[in-house]
Amino acid sequence: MIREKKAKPYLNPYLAGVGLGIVLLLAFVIMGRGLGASGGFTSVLTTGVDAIASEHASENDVYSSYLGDRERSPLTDWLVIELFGVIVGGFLSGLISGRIKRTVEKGPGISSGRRLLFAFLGGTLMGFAAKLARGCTSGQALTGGALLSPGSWIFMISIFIGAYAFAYFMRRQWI
Amino acid sequence: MTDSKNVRLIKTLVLIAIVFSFLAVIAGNPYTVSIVPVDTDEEFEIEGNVVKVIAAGDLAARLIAKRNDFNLFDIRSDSDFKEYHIPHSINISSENFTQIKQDEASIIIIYDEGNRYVIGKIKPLVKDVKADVYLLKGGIRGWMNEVLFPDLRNTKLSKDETDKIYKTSSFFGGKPVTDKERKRKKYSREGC
Amino acid sequence: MNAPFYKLGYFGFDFSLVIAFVIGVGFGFFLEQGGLGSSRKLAAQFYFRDMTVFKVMFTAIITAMIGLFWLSWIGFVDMSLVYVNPTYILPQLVGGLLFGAGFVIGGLCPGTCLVSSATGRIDGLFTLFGIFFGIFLFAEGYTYLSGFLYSTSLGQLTIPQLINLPHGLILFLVVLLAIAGFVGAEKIEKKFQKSNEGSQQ
Repeated sequence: MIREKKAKPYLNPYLAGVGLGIVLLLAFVIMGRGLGASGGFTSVLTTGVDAIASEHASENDVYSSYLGDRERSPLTDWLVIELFGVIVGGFLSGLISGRIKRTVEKGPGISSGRRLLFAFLGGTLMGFAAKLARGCTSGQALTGGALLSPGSWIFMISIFIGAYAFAYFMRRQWI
Repeated sequence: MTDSKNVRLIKTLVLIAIVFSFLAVIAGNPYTVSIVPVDTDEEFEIEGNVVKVIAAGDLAARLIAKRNDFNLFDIRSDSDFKEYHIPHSINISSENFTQIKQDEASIIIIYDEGNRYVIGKIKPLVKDVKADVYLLKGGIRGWMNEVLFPDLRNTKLSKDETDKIYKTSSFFGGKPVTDKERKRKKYSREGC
Repeated sequence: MNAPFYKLGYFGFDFSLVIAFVIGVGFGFFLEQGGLGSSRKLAAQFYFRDMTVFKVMFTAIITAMIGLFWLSWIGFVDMSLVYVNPTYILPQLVGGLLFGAGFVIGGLCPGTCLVSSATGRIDGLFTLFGIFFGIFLFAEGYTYLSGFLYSTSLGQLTIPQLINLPHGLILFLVVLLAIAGFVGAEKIEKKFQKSNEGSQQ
C-alpha cells in the first residue's frame, strides 16, 4: 500500500483571492482595521529582546514603543494573535489538502543549503524594508491597497518592480 | 469544483465586480460620516455653526497668557489622552466633560490626533453652542511639531524670535530641535 | 451606523483578540488554498510563469474595496473609522523596492512564510528567522534611520482625497485595471507555461 497522500490541486487563485478579500473585509467591518504581519513579528521580537536585554529594550525607541508602559506583554497584541491564527489556518488548509510536507522548496539548480541561506537573506531584507514602509504585503499592499492609500499603492508597485528587477539574479535559485 | 464550473463562477464574479464598481461611480460619496481635513485656515460650517481653525502657536500663546475664556477639548481616546495631552484640556470621555460643556465659555477649541477631523465627533460639541469654535490645525501632531519640538535647523530667525520659541517650547516641557543634537523622532507604531 | 464594531465599542480588547485569531485562521487558510505557502509558486510570478500572486492579491483588493464602499454607502459601516495607513512616499518607495528584491530572494513574505512553515517547509522557517533579523537590524539602527523614515509624509489619506476625484470613480478605474491585468496574466501564463509540476507540490 502506498501511503503517499495525493495532494489536492490548489484552489483557483481568483476564488482564493475572493476568499481573502472577504476575510479582509470582515476585518474592516468588525475591527475597523485591516490585516497585517510585520507588526506582529516586531512584537514577538520585542518580547525576545526584552527577555534577554531588558534595559536595552527600554532604551531603544522601537522596542520601547512596542513595550508601551509594560502593563501587558507585547504578545497580547491583535497582530500577534492574528499571526497565530494564520499558522493554524495555513496548517488546517494544508492538512485537508494533503499538502503538509517536510521539504525545502527550491528550483533544480541549487542546493538546499544555499536555498536556506537565501531564504534567510531575503527575509532579512524584507523585515527591514517592511519597517521602512510600515507594513508588508498583508498590511500595506492588501489592506492599504483596498483602502486606496497612495503610499500603499506606491509600496505595492515598488515591490513588483523590485522583484522583477532582481529576478534575473535569482534565476538559478528558482528555474 | 470542476474547471468549467470555476470559470463560470469567476465570470459571474467579474461581472458583479464590474457592475458594482460602475454603480460606485454614480453612487457618490461613500463616507457616511465626513472627514474634514484641516489643512488651511479656511473656516467651514457644521450644524449651522461656523467653525474656524487655530494654529498651535496661537493656542500656546493663549495658554501661556493664562486666559480662561476658553474650553479646550481633546477628542481622542482615553488612553491617548493619558499618554499626553495639552495642558488644561479635557478629554471627552472624562466624567467632568458634560458638566464643563455646559459652561458658557466664549471660545471652544477642539483637537484630535492630526489633521483629519471626523465631523461626527465634532458635531455634538458644536451643536447649539453659542461660543466660537476652533479646530487645532494639525492636532496633537501639529502641537508637537510647532510648539513642543519645533525644528530650528535651517531657519534664520532673529534672536527675539528664537528666544520666544524657546520660551514657549520650554513652558510646555518641550525643547526645540537644533543642529547641536540629532533630531531623533520618537518612534510611533504605524501601519502594521 | 453599526460598524466597525470594535471602534464603536461593541466589544472590548480581550474579545478583539478572539476575533484576531479567527480572522487569522481565515487569512492563513485562503493563503494556503491559493498556493501562496509555496515559495516556488510565489517566485514563479517573477519569471512570468505563474501569475497567482498577482491574481490573488488584486482579487482580494478589489473584493474588499468594493465591499467596503457599498457597506459604507448603505450606512452599515463608518468607513472613516477604518484605520488608513499613513503615507510616507520615499520610505515606502524605497521600502517597496527592497522588499521586492527580498521577496524574490526569499520567495515568501511575512504572512506567507508562516503558512509555508505551518505546512512543513523549512525554507519558510528560515525566511521567518530572516525577517526577525531584518527587523532587529532596523530597530538597532533606528537612530540613523529616523530622519529618512519620517520624510515625505502625506499623513493618512486616500488617493481620491489626494487627487480630488470621486471615490467611486477611482474604484471603478482600479477594478478595470485589475481586470485588464487578469486578462493579461492569463495570456502571459499560457505563453510561458512550460510545465506545471513545479507549482503543484
